[in-house]
Amino acid sequence: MLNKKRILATATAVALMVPLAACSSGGLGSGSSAVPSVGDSANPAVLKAAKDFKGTFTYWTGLTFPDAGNKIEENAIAQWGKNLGISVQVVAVNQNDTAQRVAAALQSGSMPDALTIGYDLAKVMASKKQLAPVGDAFDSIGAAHDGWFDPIKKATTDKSWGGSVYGVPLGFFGNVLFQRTDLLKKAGFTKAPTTWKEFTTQATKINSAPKLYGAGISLGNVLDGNEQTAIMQSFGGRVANNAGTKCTLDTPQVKNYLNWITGLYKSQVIPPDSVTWNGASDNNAYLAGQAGFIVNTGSVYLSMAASDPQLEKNTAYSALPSGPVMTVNPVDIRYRVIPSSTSSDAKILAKNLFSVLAGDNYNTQYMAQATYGPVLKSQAAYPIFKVPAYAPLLTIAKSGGTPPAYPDVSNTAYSAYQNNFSTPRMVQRVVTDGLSIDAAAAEAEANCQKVYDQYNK
Amino acid sequence: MTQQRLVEPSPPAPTPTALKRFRPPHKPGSRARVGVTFVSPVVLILLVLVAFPTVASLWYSFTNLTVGGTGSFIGFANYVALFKSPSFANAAANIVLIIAASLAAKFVLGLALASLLNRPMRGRKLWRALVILPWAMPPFVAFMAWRLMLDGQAGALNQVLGWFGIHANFLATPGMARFSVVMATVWAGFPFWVIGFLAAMQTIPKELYEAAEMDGATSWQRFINVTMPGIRSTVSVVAVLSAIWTTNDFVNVWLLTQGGPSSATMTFPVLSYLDLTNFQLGSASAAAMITLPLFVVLVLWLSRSGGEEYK
Repeated sequence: MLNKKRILATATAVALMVPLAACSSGGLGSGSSAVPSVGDSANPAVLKAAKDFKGTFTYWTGLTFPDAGNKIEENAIAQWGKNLGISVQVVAVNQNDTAQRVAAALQSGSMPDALTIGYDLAKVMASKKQLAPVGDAFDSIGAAHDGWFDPIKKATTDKSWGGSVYGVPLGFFGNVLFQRTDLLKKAGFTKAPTTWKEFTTQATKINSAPKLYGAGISLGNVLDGNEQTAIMQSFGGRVANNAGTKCTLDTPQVKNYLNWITGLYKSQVIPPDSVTWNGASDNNAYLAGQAGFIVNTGSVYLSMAASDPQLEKNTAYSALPSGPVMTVNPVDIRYRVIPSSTSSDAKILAKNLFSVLAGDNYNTQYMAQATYGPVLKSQAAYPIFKVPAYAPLLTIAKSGGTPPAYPDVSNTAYSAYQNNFSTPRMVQRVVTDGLSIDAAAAEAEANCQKVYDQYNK
Repeated sequence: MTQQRLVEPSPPAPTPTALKRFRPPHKPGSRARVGVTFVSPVVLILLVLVAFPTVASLWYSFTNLTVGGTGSFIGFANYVALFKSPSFANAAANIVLIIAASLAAKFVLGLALASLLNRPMRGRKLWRALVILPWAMPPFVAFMAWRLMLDGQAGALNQVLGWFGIHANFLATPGMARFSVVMATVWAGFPFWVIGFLAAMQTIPKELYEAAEMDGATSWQRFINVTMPGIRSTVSVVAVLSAIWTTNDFVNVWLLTQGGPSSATMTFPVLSYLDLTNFQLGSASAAAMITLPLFVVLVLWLSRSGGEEYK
């Protein structure tokens, strides 16, 4: 029964996806208002750069879900190149693999002219002077769109970047708590959990493993698994001290968090194989009706809307619950950046592209198909952010979001800690290897210190 | 049982006319130069594509080089750090386990299927083509399909097991995760063994089987005393190549478990990949090069045993 339902759902999604992508392409073709013409009104410097530019302008996009969003972005960049009369190549990169692709390209001297990367990678690259400053583009784009939302501006202009702006935000991954209202109502819960304690009560009550797990939380070595760091911080845990130099994981607060999360795992409220989940596993579990709660960015909503309206109807969305100490809801910003190796003509073109891709006509379409939260104040009016699944992202952008790493110090070492999936690994040491909580926290702190020492030399 | 020794017939002696027709075009030195000229582009390509990356990686592994940055020589520090890393023991143990288990399984499966496909049967060509399919499939597609099938919640295998009231967490516990990685690795790699064994079996002269049959050898005796000696050198080559590929395989582990749970399925390519995430080219190279001595030993052994074979 379930199989049949899933097959039908997949087929429907595919069937819907094709015309949707086609519509998107059509919408951005010549004559569309989504990509403004750069003819008469274009900056003369941009036209000169386009004229002088030799070769192919290469842009690495970050793949989002569903694919219709990727198509919109690809078509927009291609149209921009066509308008300027330059050859353009768009390469779609899985965002879980961007760091490795960038590392290989840097080493072989084959970096693209511009690309989309995440906050942590941008931080690492900026610290190594591998990115060109884009403060002028950041300021002009902000001014043209009623300004940047505060958490976005604070995170991007923070002094830890070394006094320059190295990326133009295009959106952020923010977490929304998806919940099955039909199951929760049956269990007597009518309000979304506002604390992790309430979450535990509700998830445990609706849990009927292995048929349905109350909490579809990822503990794997993927970006979703790194949400654990924010949850740990909401329990009062800190990765490092205020100076951002000494790791502080062997603390009662971290152990309190470990007690809570490992308790949920051991009582099978969290699926056993969440320790090896990939980036799509929590989505799949929820869509298959096998998770009561998941923490997701919004992509699941788009899938549900296309393939399972009944599930969508039975889903409510709320902000991440608070921990015993504070609320941590990080905005994981995605940036458009320019490598320092890019030629001066291509840098001018890239900044122009960034301003084109910040256009409201384009973004109204793009953000309706991508999974990002808004970064510019003008984006608050987009219809997608009135949809229940996306509305919390607007709230996060306006006020509820905490800057990346908060309350920790955002530095390169912290980014490396996250890139190593250190928090979910610490949890795995307890639930998989049977280490005691004390031993796991001590080991994690020692490993973390090695990373911090390496970057704080 | 007697074994017939095959003696190749001597080639006919060249006739005077043929000798007259065949004259070396140049002096020996000049012929050598022509040969070198023809070979040098390939040697150059091999140097650029194989030797340079290998030597460069080896050098990087002794430095603290970061991607796009500068580095200095630090001796064996990266290797010492790797040995001390909690994941090292798991990665080393997994190499032994995954290679031993997958090679054994591929050998049995490959031999059985090759023997079967070597016999006259209906639709033999079709079966041979079908057997190659897993090997021909792009690894990304193959292992993603396995990931979906093994999923603890929505996986197809659990759907089937569910009919019998069984639920298995294929990727949740260290033992099951290792088993799953080996199973998928065997599935993706066994066709290479089948092809190798089948090709070798077809070179064994039929007369040997006929002679053995006349001497009263049973099927099993023919298999042990004719087939196995006939494919022995192929087994060595296939096993060594397969061991090297399996050791270097990244996609199988990354797509199935990302080296987890914890570091239960960690391998050196995955360790290297994780180091590269933080741009640590020196330590990533050390993790990648750590298995090089093993490969050198295997290749030397293969060359030696191959040489013995043809003496």
